[in-house]
Amino acid sequence: MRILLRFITDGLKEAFSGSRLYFCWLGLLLSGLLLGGYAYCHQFRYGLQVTGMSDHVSWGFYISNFTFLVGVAAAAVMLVLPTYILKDMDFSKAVLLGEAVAVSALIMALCFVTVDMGGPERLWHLIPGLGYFNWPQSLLTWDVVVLNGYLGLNLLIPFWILFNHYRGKKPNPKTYLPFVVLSVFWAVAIHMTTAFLYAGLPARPFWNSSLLGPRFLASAFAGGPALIILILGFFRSFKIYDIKADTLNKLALITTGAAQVNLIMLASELFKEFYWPTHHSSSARYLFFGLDGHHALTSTIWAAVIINLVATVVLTINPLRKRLWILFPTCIALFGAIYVEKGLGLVVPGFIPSPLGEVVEYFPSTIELMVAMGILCLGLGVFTVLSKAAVAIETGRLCHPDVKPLSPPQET
Amino acid sequence: MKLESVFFCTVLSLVGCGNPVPPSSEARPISEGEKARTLKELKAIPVEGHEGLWVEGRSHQLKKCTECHGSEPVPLDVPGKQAHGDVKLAHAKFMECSTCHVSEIPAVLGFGTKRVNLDQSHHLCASCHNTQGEDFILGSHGKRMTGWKGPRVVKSCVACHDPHEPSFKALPTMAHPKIIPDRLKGQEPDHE
Amino acid sequence: MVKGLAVGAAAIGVGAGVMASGTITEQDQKEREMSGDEFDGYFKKNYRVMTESERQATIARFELKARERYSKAIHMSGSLAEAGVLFGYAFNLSRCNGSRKCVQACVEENNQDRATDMQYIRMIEMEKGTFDVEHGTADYDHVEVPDGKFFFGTQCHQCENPPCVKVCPVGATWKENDGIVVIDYDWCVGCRYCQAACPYFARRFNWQEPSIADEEVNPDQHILGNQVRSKGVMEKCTFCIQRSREGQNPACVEACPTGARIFGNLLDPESEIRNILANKKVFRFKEELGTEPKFWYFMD
Repeated sequence: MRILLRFITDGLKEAFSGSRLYFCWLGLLLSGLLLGGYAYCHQFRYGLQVTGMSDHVSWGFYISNFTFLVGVAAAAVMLVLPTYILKDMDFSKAVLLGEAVAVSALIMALCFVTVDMGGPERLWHLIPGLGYFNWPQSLLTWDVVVLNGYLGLNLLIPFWILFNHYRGKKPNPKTYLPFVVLSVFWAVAIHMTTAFLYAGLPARPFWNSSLLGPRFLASAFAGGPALIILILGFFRSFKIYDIKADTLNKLALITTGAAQVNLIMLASELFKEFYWPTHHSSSARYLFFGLDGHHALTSTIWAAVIINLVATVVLTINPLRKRLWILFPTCIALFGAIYVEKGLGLVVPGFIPSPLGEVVEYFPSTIELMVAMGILCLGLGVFTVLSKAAVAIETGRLCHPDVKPLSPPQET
Repeated sequence: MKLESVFFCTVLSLVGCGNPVPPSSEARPISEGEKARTLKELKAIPVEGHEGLWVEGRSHQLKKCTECHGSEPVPLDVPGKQAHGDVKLAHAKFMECSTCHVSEIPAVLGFGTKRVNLDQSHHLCASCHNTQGEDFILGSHGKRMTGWKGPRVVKSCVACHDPHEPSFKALPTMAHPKIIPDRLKGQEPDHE
Repeated sequence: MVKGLAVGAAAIGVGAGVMASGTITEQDQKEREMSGDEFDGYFKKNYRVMTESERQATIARFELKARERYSKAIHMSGSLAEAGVLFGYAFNLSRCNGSRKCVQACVEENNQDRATDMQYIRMIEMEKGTFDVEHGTADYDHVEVPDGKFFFGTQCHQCENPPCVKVCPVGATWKENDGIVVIDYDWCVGCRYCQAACPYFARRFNWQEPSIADEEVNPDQHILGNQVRSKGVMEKCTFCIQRSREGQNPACVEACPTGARIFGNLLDPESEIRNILANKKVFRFKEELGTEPKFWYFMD
């Protein structure tokens, strides 16, 4: 017990010590968080009228970010799977960072859902027993269960491993492997559930498609690893943590495969909507070509699709992908394109036109952008704290004073 | 086995299965007294041949002949004067006063050999407008005066349609919807 | 939670101040009761699982709160569904002339927010020759009905298989035994999933705190119907539950100048609504979605 307390205090001490640059970074995150908090107070006081949402487009920037971030969290499985199950040693270093990304992304996603609520002080109504939990009918209840479960798993497994490394021990695989296997399936579950909450609505033909779940998975496994490549690349370039180029290359391979599948699915959707446009294609028509003079999203989505296409092609070409200085910008481009396609490019067109054929467009308001920035800073902060402590433990720099550190590189 | 069943029971008790709703009350039928009061208030006239259907009385809404003519008998066949000739008649090109007002007494209406009074004018209207008459009985034409629970009292034809000039005057619209909320107006970059 | 704690703290503050002053005035007593009530109110259960006495207590509390807020003598009803009653509605497309008197009457009856002009009923001016609502517009005005147009009115269709009820994560909306889909306004967390799920654009969200002028408030209220709502909760047409459970017609049905709207008990074979369903060629909007709406359209 005392060791556990020591572990936590040491971890926190490690997270909040560093160079001046590091403290500038933390300071920046804190100021962003406080600004976001102020904006949220404004929203809490005056209601959601301060956002750009309306009865027509009742979900906007917050839920788009939520959807996208659940995908990023699910992508951590792309590191977990090779490391623990396929026993690919190249990934062993990266996996804890990947799980830190998952935790941060999940916390951000949960924050986005909370700030979107009209009555967040009533969220206790969701607690089974205390409130009324409309499970299994409501897909949102499923989402609550799977997201919190996944958060638990992604906190528990790295905690156990790091705690043992901190004590200078190697944890017995039998203690955590079942949970790891569970988390792989759970990662797929979180994103399919999030997709199902859209796909199960007969009122919204843009979402009511059997391909939505698989599309979510493909775009998650393309965009998520792209982000992880960028983060690992950052850690590698700034010599914070030794990540082999091989790890990055293998991850890039996963990203490429997923990006290709994502494009095929996009092509399939476009064919279905536009080969023989029906009444149900109006939302797709609005997104790509505009409807009745409203075309707020057309240039953005076309840019995203083209960037996605170019990035996927670049990644497919082996010599280009293997060069890290080409890989990183391509990953940025791919991540950005998928962020648009899966975020505003998915949620907003689902509401346009309304079930009565009316077109009311959506533009995020300043308050929404500020709150989102606050949540982003929170997520980055969580990741910073977690990864700083994890890297210190893994490199042997941080361990319990009474034990000898395990020499790096670690074998998990 | 026992542990599993305990687990399932716990889960089921915590989640929203069973779909509880507030209970219904017993039937709350309208009392005969209430029914009678409503019929009296509206001076409802039962519609012949259709039990459970009443029409709003009309004659009590009109002036009695004696109010203008006094108790003196009204001279008829006065040359150059048409009875109630100031009434504008614009109801189908072929119709004249005598088409409906078949007797010397304006309050007596008729068609063929049938005679009806002013409270039964719907029979007269239905003699030409038979589809509307059927719909009137059914409930898809006309307006009910009582709630869904009360005795079915409907407005007479003439409550909405002036029998002498039946075409409707214009009815301007109201309550224009705010499709785009005020707080979101002016956001769109390049729209009219 | 924060609100509840703040209110509780205020209550304690008032109490303390009163103690310090040495006398407890009637006003102070009332204030203490009010803030205590609100504190209790935060922790109440979902209306659908309450016991009868809990419901009565909730209704009494709401009535008191409403009377404090508005000068009129608000009467809050908690009338239950009646056995043997299932409400149905029919709309005659041949009769409607688009006057929107129904919309006006609905707003006056149901205490919607005036600042945002919240309206439950949507009247759409349609082009003759098509039933595609995408080719219609609600943005119309006229003095005389223009040629070649007809009017399609829509509001909550009180589906027998409501998608909004299915998706609500906290069970704040449900279908009552008389067929009306209602909302427990205090239980709603404002996630707006129901608004995404409704195929008829029936649900309205309070994006801000609703405001109604004191003299415009309808004092005859029902806890599941036209009580004045608060920000962050969903609301919608309830077939004027405060009227229909008392045997009256909804406000829209009363107000319609052409008799285009028919309302009644589907379980009564003598009712007008049943006559229409038996004798007219009726259809329902978006029937193919399997929502089983209790709102039929027909033409003469």
